[in-house]
Amino acid sequence: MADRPLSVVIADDSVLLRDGLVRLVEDAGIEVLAAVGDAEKLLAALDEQLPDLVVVDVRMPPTHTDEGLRAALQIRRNHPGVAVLVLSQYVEERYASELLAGDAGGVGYLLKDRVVDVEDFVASLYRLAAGGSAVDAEVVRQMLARSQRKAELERLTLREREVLEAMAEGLSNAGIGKKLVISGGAVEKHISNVFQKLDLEPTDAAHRRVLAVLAHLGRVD
Amino acid sequence: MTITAPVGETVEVTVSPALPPASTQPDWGDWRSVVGWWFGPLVRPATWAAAGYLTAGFFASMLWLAVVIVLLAISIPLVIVLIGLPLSWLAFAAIDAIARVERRRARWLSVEIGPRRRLVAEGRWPRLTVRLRDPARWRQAGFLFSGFFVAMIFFSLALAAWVLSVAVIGAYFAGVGVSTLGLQVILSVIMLGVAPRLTVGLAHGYARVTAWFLGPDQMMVMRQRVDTLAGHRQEILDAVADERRRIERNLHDGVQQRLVALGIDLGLASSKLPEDAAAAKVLVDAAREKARTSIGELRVIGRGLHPAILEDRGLDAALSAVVSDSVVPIALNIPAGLRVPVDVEETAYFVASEAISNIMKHSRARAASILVSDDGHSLIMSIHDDGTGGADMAHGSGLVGLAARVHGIDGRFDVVSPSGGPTTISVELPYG
Repeated sequence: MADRPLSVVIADDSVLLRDGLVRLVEDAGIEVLAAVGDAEKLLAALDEQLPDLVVVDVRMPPTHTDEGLRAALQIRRNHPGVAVLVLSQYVEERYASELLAGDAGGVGYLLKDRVVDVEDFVASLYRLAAGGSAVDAEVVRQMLARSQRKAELERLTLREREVLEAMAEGLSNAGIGKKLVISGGAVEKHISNVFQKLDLEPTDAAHRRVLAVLAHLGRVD
Repeated sequence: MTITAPVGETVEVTVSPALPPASTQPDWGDWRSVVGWWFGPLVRPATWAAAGYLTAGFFASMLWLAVVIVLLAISIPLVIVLIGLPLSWLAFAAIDAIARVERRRARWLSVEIGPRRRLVAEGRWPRLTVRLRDPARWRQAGFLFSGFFVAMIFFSLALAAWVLSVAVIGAYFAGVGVSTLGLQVILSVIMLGVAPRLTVGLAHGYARVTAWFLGPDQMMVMRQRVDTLAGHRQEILDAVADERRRIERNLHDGVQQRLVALGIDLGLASSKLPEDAAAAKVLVDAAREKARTSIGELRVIGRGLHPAILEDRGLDAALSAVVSDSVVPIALNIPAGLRVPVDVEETAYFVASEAISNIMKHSRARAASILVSDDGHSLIMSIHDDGTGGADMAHGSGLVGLAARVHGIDGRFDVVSPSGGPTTISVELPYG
């Protein structure tokens, strides 16, 4: 990936935000193949040339409901190699669950606000393009709150819970350590505790870990 | 002169003849079943309640007729010499009292007759004329005259049936009528089955007649419905105006001020930038923080106005997010994939999210629950919390707004919140 810049297609119906995103990613050295205003043009742009990554707003014309989400799911099906980041004005756990169902690798769901934190946002783009995942902390919080597995979650210490949230967001061990300001060894210890307490199969691949955790939280007995 | 009716009073118009359930067909092959079926009504309390109702009705109607004739006969000619006025007032009061007694009596048959709608008018003279012109009142008076004749006929028929069922046997021994005992017994057996059924039927017939005379008349029911709807319309208009004021205040106090401050930060940063980049960076970071907060605030306001997910994923998905944002743990119980008409979904969402924000703000609850069910005709939702209670429709303007929204789609809204808790809000939202 080093020899060639990351390429992206952006779909957002707001001109202001679309231009902002274009400036932001170009500034980070990412090549913008196309920037479009609705789902139809997005799919057409992908027929022209496949990018590494698609950034798409959930609400777009004509109905302004979930066009972006449906386009994202279609892209996942038709072009498994293309990473997809869905931006949403609101955190909707339901949208995230639909998006992440199957495989969390290369799939992200973030609040639009996160764009403001430019460095983190760009890091998420690179993580997605590399097959990782990016789930908004708010989504994770909603899933934790909604989870039927209250008893299991109560067994976790506060720190383990924080680690679980960071893990579900898609952060790597190093990323978790940086976020919570703890050492790599401590991160590993917490993670193994979490997996043990939740009775999950341990795995090293970050995106598979996200999926395991989220699926576990969302499961209804 | 204005004639108004108080809003919010419920009027029962149900006249439900609760016929004994055992009138279902017997098993014709089993003689015990047939005998039980035929003579069963004889020992059923409903039969004797009906007999009592009819008998008492007959004697009571005689008394009513006497009272009314005397009162009216005295008062109407005396109206000219003012003393008649208080007397006729007395006559009307007596009629009202009698009507109340008759309504209560109807409950013996488990028949509920709604009260007469009262016309209300301002001022002494209008009040009097309204009373005199009230058609329901004259219908009541009419009952006291005609009720007697109806009661007499119905009572006589029932009595005749009973007398016959016993008398045919007696007649044999007295040597009158048919001279075969067997035939007499057969007749008696037939009549013993017929008499109780006839009595119940007649009693309910009489209750129906009573209901027609004393119950609320349809015109009045309609008028009250119109008044209620007009009241609800006003409630909704008020609630909408309140909500717009609240949104404006939220925008003004929060986002607007913060964007002004953000603009100031950026302006200062721009002027500092050439000579003091470090100071400028601090200002820019502060501006970014304000932008972030503003976005979050706008999101809360926007989602409160209309959650887009309600349209494409329904109430379950929309409420899930609200519930999981709550600090107080809330158990949400809702049928998966439930879809009902959009105005019902929106109202239910609005009620639930407002109730949750009330729970978080005022109730000091440790746990809460939302239970949603759907019976095919209406959405039923109850929101319960174990907080301190004391939520009051009179003071909590939020609750008034919720009730207005619910009434707006013809729903029912109830709050039970004794001081000390717990609080339960129940809504029923009909959709056809």
